[in-house]
Amino acid sequence: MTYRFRRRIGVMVILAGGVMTVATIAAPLRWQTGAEVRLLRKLAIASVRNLSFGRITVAIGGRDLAVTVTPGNTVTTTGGIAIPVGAQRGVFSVQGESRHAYVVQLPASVPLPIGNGSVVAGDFRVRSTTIGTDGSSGYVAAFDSAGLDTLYLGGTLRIPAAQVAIVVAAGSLSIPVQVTVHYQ
Amino acid sequence: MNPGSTIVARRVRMFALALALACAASPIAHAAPRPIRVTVVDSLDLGRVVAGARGSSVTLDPETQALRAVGGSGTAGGISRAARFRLRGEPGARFVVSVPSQVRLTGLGGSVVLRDLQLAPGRTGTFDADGRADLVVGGTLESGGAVAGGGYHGSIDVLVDYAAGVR
Repeated sequence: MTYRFRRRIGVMVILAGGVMTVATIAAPLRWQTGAEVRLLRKLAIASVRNLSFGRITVAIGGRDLAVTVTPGNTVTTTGGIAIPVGAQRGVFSVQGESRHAYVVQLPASVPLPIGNGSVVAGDFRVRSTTIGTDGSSGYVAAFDSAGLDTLYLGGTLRIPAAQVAIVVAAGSLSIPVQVTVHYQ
Repeated sequence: MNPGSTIVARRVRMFALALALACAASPIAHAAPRPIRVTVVDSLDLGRVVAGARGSSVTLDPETQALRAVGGSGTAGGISRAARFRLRGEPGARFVVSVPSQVRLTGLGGSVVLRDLQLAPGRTGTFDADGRADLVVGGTLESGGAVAGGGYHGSIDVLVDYAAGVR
Protein backbone atom coordinates (compact mmCIF):
# COMPACT_ATOMS: atom_id res chain seq x y z
CA MET A 1 0.00 0.00 0.00
CA THR A 2 1.57 3.27 -1.06
CA TYR A 3 1.86 6.30 1.25
CA ARG A 4 -0.56 8.23 -0.95
CA PHE A 5 -3.11 5.43 -0.78
CA ARG A 6 -2.84 5.16 3.03
CA ARG A 7 -3.23 8.93 3.41
CA ARG A 8 -6.34 8.89 1.23
CA ILE A 9 -7.83 6.08 3.33
CA GLY A 10 -7.09 8.06 6.51
CA VAL A 11 -8.73 11.19 5.22
CA MET A 12 -11.80 9.27 4.19
CA VAL A 13 -12.04 7.55 7.58
CA ILE A 14 -12.02 10.95 9.24
CA LEU A 15 -14.63 12.26 6.82
CA ALA A 16 -16.84 9.20 7.21
CA GLY A 17 -16.52 9.30 10.97
CA GLY A 18 -17.55 12.94 10.91
CA VAL A 19 -20.54 12.14 8.77
CA MET A 20 -21.63 9.39 11.14
CA THR A 21 -21.24 11.60 14.20
CA VAL A 22 -23.18 14.52 12.73
CA ALA A 23 -25.95 12.27 11.55
CA THR A 24 -26.60 10.78 14.99
CA ILE A 25 -26.44 13.85 17.28
CA ALA A 26 -29.91 14.58 18.66
CA ALA A 27 -30.87 18.20 18.08
CA PRO A 28 -32.72 20.26 20.72
CA LEU A 29 -36.45 20.13 20.31
CA ARG A 30 -38.41 23.36 20.11
CA TRP A 31 -42.17 23.74 19.92
CA GLN A 32 -44.99 26.11 20.78
CA THR A 33 -48.09 25.58 22.80
CA GLY A 34 -51.13 27.77 23.23
CA ALA A 35 -52.06 29.79 26.32
CA GLU A 36 -55.41 31.43 26.89
CA VAL A 37 -57.66 33.02 29.47
CA ARG A 38 -61.12 34.52 29.55
CA LEU A 39 -61.05 37.72 31.61
CA LEU A 40 -64.27 38.96 33.16
CA ARG A 41 -64.98 42.43 34.47
CA LYS A 42 -65.10 42.60 38.21
CA LEU A 43 -68.64 42.43 39.58
CA ALA A 44 -70.04 45.48 41.30
CA ILE A 45 -73.37 45.87 43.04
CA ALA A 46 -74.79 49.02 44.56
CA SER A 47 -78.00 49.64 46.42
CA VAL A 48 -80.09 52.29 44.71
CA ARG A 49 -83.03 52.09 47.07
CA ASN A 50 -83.78 49.95 50.12
CA LEU A 51 -86.73 47.63 50.25
CA SER A 52 -89.47 49.48 52.13
CA PHE A 53 -92.62 48.12 53.73
CA GLY A 54 -94.01 51.62 54.15
CA ARG A 55 -95.84 53.11 57.06
CA ILE A 56 -98.52 50.98 58.68
CA THR A 57 -101.10 53.42 59.94
CA VAL A 58 -104.03 51.27 61.06
CA ALA A 59 -103.48 48.81 63.86
CA ILE A 60 -105.86 45.95 64.42
CA GLY A 61 -105.24 44.34 67.77
CA GLY A 62 -104.90 40.62 68.25
CA ARG A 63 -103.85 39.67 64.75
CA ASP A 64 -100.55 38.79 63.14
CA LEU A 65 -99.90 41.03 60.17
CA ALA A 66 -97.82 40.65 57.04
CA VAL A 67 -96.85 43.02 54.29
CA THR A 68 -95.51 41.66 51.03
CA VAL A 69 -93.79 43.70 48.36
CA THR A 70 -93.05 41.83 45.12
CA PRO A 71 -90.13 42.52 42.75
CA GLY A 72 -92.78 43.79 40.37
CA ASN A 73 -93.68 46.40 43.03
CA THR A 74 -97.06 44.98 43.92
CA VAL A 75 -97.94 45.38 47.60
CA THR A 76 -100.29 43.03 49.44
CA THR A 77 -101.21 42.65 53.10
CA THR A 78 -102.72 40.05 55.38
CA GLY A 79 -104.38 40.68 58.73
CA GLY A 80 -106.90 43.17 57.50
CA ILE A 81 -104.71 46.26 57.29
CA ALA A 82 -104.62 48.82 54.53
CA ILE A 83 -101.76 49.00 52.06
CA PRO A 84 -98.93 50.80 53.87
CA VAL A 85 -98.03 54.17 52.46
CA GLY A 86 -94.62 54.28 50.82
CA ALA A 87 -94.14 50.52 50.47
CA GLN A 88 -91.91 49.79 47.47
CA ARG A 89 -89.42 47.29 46.14
CA GLY A 90 -85.69 47.60 46.62
CA VAL A 91 -83.47 48.41 43.66
CA PHE A 92 -79.86 47.41 43.00
CA SER A 93 -77.54 48.32 40.15
CA VAL A 94 -75.16 45.55 39.03
CA GLN A 95 -72.19 45.75 36.67
CA GLY A 96 -70.10 42.95 35.17
CA GLU A 97 -69.05 41.24 31.97
CA SER A 98 -71.40 41.82 29.07
CA ARG A 99 -73.75 38.96 28.26
CA HIS A 100 -72.47 36.83 31.13
CA ALA A 101 -74.66 35.07 33.64
CA TYR A 102 -74.36 35.64 37.36
CA VAL A 103 -75.97 34.27 40.47
CA VAL A 104 -77.85 36.33 43.07
CA GLN A 105 -77.69 35.27 46.71
CA LEU A 106 -80.29 36.54 49.15
CA PRO A 107 -80.43 36.13 52.92
CA ALA A 108 -83.07 33.84 54.37
CA SER A 109 -84.27 36.57 56.70
CA VAL A 110 -83.28 39.94 58.09
CA PRO A 111 -84.31 41.11 61.58
CA LEU A 112 -85.48 44.68 61.89
CA PRO A 113 -85.05 46.05 65.41
CA ILE A 114 -87.97 48.19 66.54
CA GLY A 115 -88.14 49.62 70.02
CA ASN A 116 -87.29 46.87 72.49
CA GLY A 117 -88.25 44.10 70.08
CA SER A 118 -87.86 43.24 66.44
CA VAL A 119 -89.76 42.04 63.44
CA VAL A 120 -88.40 39.84 60.68
CA ALA A 121 -88.40 40.32 56.94
CA GLY A 122 -87.93 37.27 54.74
CA ASP A 123 -89.15 35.34 51.73
CA PHE A 124 -87.05 37.61 49.58
CA ARG A 125 -87.56 37.49 45.83
CA VAL A 126 -85.62 39.15 43.08
CA ARG A 127 -86.13 40.08 39.44
CA SER A 128 -83.47 40.92 36.86
CA THR A 129 -84.28 43.47 34.17
CA THR A 130 -82.42 41.33 31.67
CA ILE A 131 -84.14 38.07 32.60
CA GLY A 132 -87.56 39.45 33.49
CA THR A 133 -88.79 36.71 35.81
CA ASP A 134 -88.84 36.46 39.61
CA GLY A 135 -86.78 34.06 41.66
CA SER A 136 -85.40 33.35 45.10
CA SER A 137 -81.82 33.00 46.35
CA GLY A 138 -79.67 31.30 43.74
CA TYR A 139 -81.46 33.16 40.98
CA VAL A 140 -79.46 33.29 37.75
CA ALA A 141 -79.42 36.69 36.09
CA ALA A 142 -77.42 38.07 33.18
CA PHE A 143 -75.78 41.26 32.03
CA ASP A 144 -76.84 43.09 28.92
CA SER A 145 -74.47 44.00 26.09
CA ALA A 146 -73.15 46.93 28.12
CA GLY A 147 -72.47 44.76 31.15
CA LEU A 148 -75.33 46.25 33.16
CA ASP A 149 -78.34 44.88 34.97
CA THR A 150 -80.87 46.10 37.51
CA LEU A 151 -82.19 43.90 40.28
CA TYR A 152 -85.56 44.51 41.94
CA LEU A 153 -85.98 43.08 45.41
CA GLY A 154 -89.18 42.10 47.16
CA GLY A 155 -89.97 40.39 50.44
CA THR A 156 -92.42 39.89 53.25
CA LEU A 157 -92.46 41.60 56.63
CA ARG A 158 -94.17 39.54 59.35
CA ILE A 159 -95.45 41.36 62.37
CA PRO A 160 -96.60 39.33 65.37
CA ALA A 161 -99.74 40.66 67.03
CA ALA A 162 -97.77 41.64 70.10
CA GLN A 163 -95.53 43.90 67.99
CA VAL A 164 -98.18 45.70 65.98
CA ALA A 165 -98.47 48.73 68.21
CA ILE A 166 -94.69 49.19 68.21
CA VAL A 167 -94.55 48.91 64.43
CA VAL A 168 -97.26 51.50 63.99
CA ALA A 169 -95.39 53.85 66.26
CA ALA A 170 -92.10 53.27 64.42
CA GLY A 171 -93.29 54.85 61.18
CA SER A 172 -91.89 53.86 57.80
CA LEU A 173 -90.05 50.54 57.70
CA SER A 174 -87.16 50.50 55.30
CA ILE A 175 -84.75 47.60 55.46
CA PRO A 176 -81.22 47.18 54.09
CA VAL A 177 -80.84 43.70 52.62
CA GLN A 178 -77.40 42.27 51.86
CA VAL A 179 -77.56 41.05 48.27
CA THR A 180 -74.46 39.34 46.89
CA VAL A 181 -73.63 38.30 43.34
CA HIS A 182 -71.06 36.05 41.72
CA TYR A 183 -70.46 34.74 38.23
CA GLN A 184 -72.17 31.53 37.39
CA MET B 1 -14.09 0.32 -19.11
CA ASN B 2 -12.40 3.70 -19.43
CA PRO B 3 -9.70 4.81 -16.98
CA GLY B 4 -12.00 7.51 -15.46
CA SER B 5 -14.67 5.07 -14.39
CA THR B 6 -12.05 2.77 -12.94
CA ILE B 7 -10.81 5.59 -10.74
CA VAL B 8 -14.34 6.41 -9.62
CA ALA B 9 -15.07 2.78 -8.84
CA ARG B 10 -11.88 2.55 -6.83
CA ARG B 11 -12.72 5.66 -4.85
CA VAL B 12 -16.20 4.35 -4.12
CA ARG B 13 -14.72 1.16 -2.80
CA MET B 14 -12.26 3.13 -0.71
CA PHE B 15 -15.04 5.26 0.78
CA ALA B 16 -17.08 2.17 1.56
CA LEU B 17 -14.07 0.71 3.31
CA ALA B 18 -13.52 3.95 5.20
CA LEU B 19 -17.18 4.08 6.22
CA ALA B 20 -17.00 0.55 7.55
CA LEU B 21 -13.88 1.44 9.52
CA ALA B 22 -15.55 4.57 10.87
CA CYS B 23 -18.62 2.64 12.00
CA ALA B 24 -16.45 0.10 13.74
CA ALA B 25 -14.14 2.66 15.26
CA SER B 26 -16.52 5.43 16.24
CA PRO B 27 -18.19 4.84 19.62
CA ILE B 28 -19.88 8.26 19.31
CA ALA B 29 -22.12 6.99 16.56
CA HIS B 30 -23.48 4.24 18.77
CA ALA B 31 -23.72 6.32 22.00
CA ALA B 32 -25.65 9.26 20.56
CA PRO B 33 -29.07 9.60 22.28
CA ARG B 34 -32.23 9.18 20.32
CA PRO B 35 -33.88 12.43 19.21
CA ILE B 36 -36.30 13.95 21.68
CA ARG B 37 -39.93 13.88 20.63
CA VAL B 38 -42.94 15.56 22.16
CA THR B 39 -46.67 15.00 22.25
CA VAL B 40 -48.75 17.99 23.33
CA VAL B 41 -51.40 16.65 25.70
CA ASP B 42 -52.94 19.99 26.76
CA SER B 43 -52.38 23.65 26.06
CA LEU B 44 -52.50 26.11 28.96
CA ASP B 45 -55.94 27.44 29.81
CA LEU B 46 -56.62 29.59 32.86
CA GLY B 47 -60.37 29.36 32.37
CA ARG B 48 -62.48 32.33 33.44
CA VAL B 49 -60.74 34.86 35.64
CA VAL B 50 -62.37 37.89 37.23
CA ALA B 51 -60.18 40.95 36.87
CA GLY B 52 -59.09 42.58 40.10
CA ALA B 53 -57.44 45.75 41.28
CA ARG B 54 -54.06 46.84 39.93
CA GLY B 55 -51.39 44.36 40.98
CA SER B 56 -53.72 41.45 41.35
CA SER B 57 -52.88 38.12 39.78
CA VAL B 58 -53.91 34.53 39.36
CA THR B 59 -51.37 31.70 39.55
CA LEU B 60 -51.84 28.25 38.08
CA ASP B 61 -49.67 25.72 39.91
CA PRO B 62 -48.32 23.13 37.44
CA GLU B 63 -48.01 20.44 40.10
CA THR B 64 -51.43 20.70 41.74
CA GLN B 65 -53.32 22.44 38.90
CA ALA B 66 -54.69 24.71 41.64
CA LEU B 67 -55.50 28.34 40.92
CA ARG B 68 -54.51 30.92 43.51
CA ALA B 69 -55.76 34.49 43.30
CA VAL B 70 -54.08 37.49 44.88
CA GLY B 71 -55.23 41.09 45.14
CA GLY B 72 -58.92 40.85 44.42
CA SER B 73 -58.90 38.70 41.32
CA GLY B 74 -60.90 35.54 41.38
CA THR B 75 -61.90 32.65 39.28
CA ALA B 76 -65.34 32.36 37.79
CA GLY B 77 -65.66 28.73 36.95
CA GLY B 78 -64.84 27.17 33.65
CA ILE B 79 -62.04 24.70 33.10
CA SER B 80 -58.50 25.66 33.94
CA ARG B 81 -55.52 23.47 33.15
CA ALA B 82 -51.77 23.70 32.89
CA ALA B 83 -49.98 22.91 29.63
CA ARG B 84 -49.01 19.24 29.60
CA PHE B 85 -46.52 17.43 27.38
CA ARG B 86 -45.33 13.85 27.01
CA LEU B 87 -41.64 13.66 26.07
CA ARG B 88 -39.81 10.68 24.56
CA GLY B 89 -36.05 10.38 24.56
CA GLU B 90 -33.09 8.31 25.61
CA PRO B 91 -33.91 6.12 28.64
CA GLY B 92 -32.16 7.39 31.72
CA ALA B 93 -30.86 10.52 30.04
CA ARG B 94 -31.19 13.91 31.70
CA PHE B 95 -32.73 16.85 29.86
CA VAL B 96 -33.09 20.58 30.39
CA VAL B 97 -36.15 22.68 29.61
CA SER B 98 -36.27 26.34 28.66
CA VAL B 99 -39.32 28.57 28.57
CA PRO B 100 -39.50 32.36 28.27
CA SER B 101 -39.70 34.41 31.44
CA GLN B 102 -43.03 35.76 30.32
CA VAL B 103 -45.40 35.74 27.36
CA ARG B 104 -48.04 38.21 26.30
CA LEU B 105 -51.61 37.12 25.66
CA THR B 106 -53.53 39.39 23.33
CA GLY B 107 -57.20 40.01 22.77
CA LEU B 108 -59.59 42.64 21.54
CA GLY B 109 -59.16 44.50 24.82
CA GLY B 110 -55.36 44.75 24.53
CA SER B 111 -52.97 42.36 26.19
CA VAL B 112 -52.15 40.73 29.50
CA VAL B 113 -48.92 39.21 30.76
CA LEU B 114 -48.40 35.61 31.76
CA ARG B 115 -45.20 35.65 33.81
CA ASP B 116 -43.11 33.44 36.08
CA LEU B 117 -43.74 30.35 33.99
CA GLN B 118 -43.30 27.34 36.23
CA LEU B 119 -42.28 23.85 35.20
CA ALA B 120 -43.08 20.55 36.82
CA PRO B 121 -41.09 18.55 37.66
CA GLY B 122 -38.60 21.37 37.07
CA ARG B 123 -36.16 22.88 34.61
CA THR B 124 -34.33 19.57 34.44
CA GLY B 125 -35.67 16.06 34.25
CA THR B 126 -34.74 12.49 33.48
CA PHE B 127 -36.29 10.12 31.00
CA ASP B 128 -37.50 6.97 32.69
CA ALA B 129 -36.47 3.44 31.75
CA ASP B 130 -38.92 3.51 28.86
CA GLY B 131 -37.61 6.86 27.64
CA ARG B 132 -40.65 8.79 28.80
CA ALA B 133 -41.06 11.98 30.80
CA ASP B 134 -43.98 14.29 31.51
CA LEU B 135 -43.65 18.04 31.55
CA VAL B 136 -46.24 20.49 32.90
CA VAL B 137 -46.19 24.28 32.56
CA GLY B 138 -48.09 26.80 34.68
CA GLY B 139 -47.67 30.48 35.40
CA THR B 140 -48.97 33.69 36.86
CA LEU B 141 -51.39 35.94 35.02
CA GLU B 142 -51.40 39.65 35.80
CA SER B 143 -55.13 40.17 35.95
CA GLY B 144 -55.43 43.56 37.54
CA GLY B 145 -55.65 47.16 36.46
CA ALA B 146 -57.48 48.51 33.48
CA VAL B 147 -57.87 45.19 31.73
CA ALA B 148 -60.86 44.84 29.46
CA GLY B 149 -62.95 41.70 29.62
CA GLY B 150 -62.78 39.16 26.82
CA GLY B 151 -60.66 36.34 25.49
CA TYR B 152 -56.85 36.58 25.46
CA HIS B 153 -54.59 34.20 23.55
CA GLY B 154 -50.87 33.65 23.09
CA SER B 155 -48.25 30.97 22.73
CA ILE B 156 -45.37 29.65 24.81
CA ASP B 157 -42.07 28.59 23.23
CA VAL B 158 -40.67 25.48 24.84
CA LEU B 159 -37.14 24.17 24.23
CA VAL B 160 -35.95 20.79 25.45
CA ASP B 161 -32.41 19.48 25.04
CA TYR B 162 -30.30 16.79 26.56
CA ALA B 163 -28.28 17.96 29.54
CA ALA B 164 -24.57 18.57 29.01
CA GLY B 165 -22.65 15.30 28.88
CA VAL B 166 -25.53 13.25 27.53
CA ARG B 167 -24.60 13.95 23.96
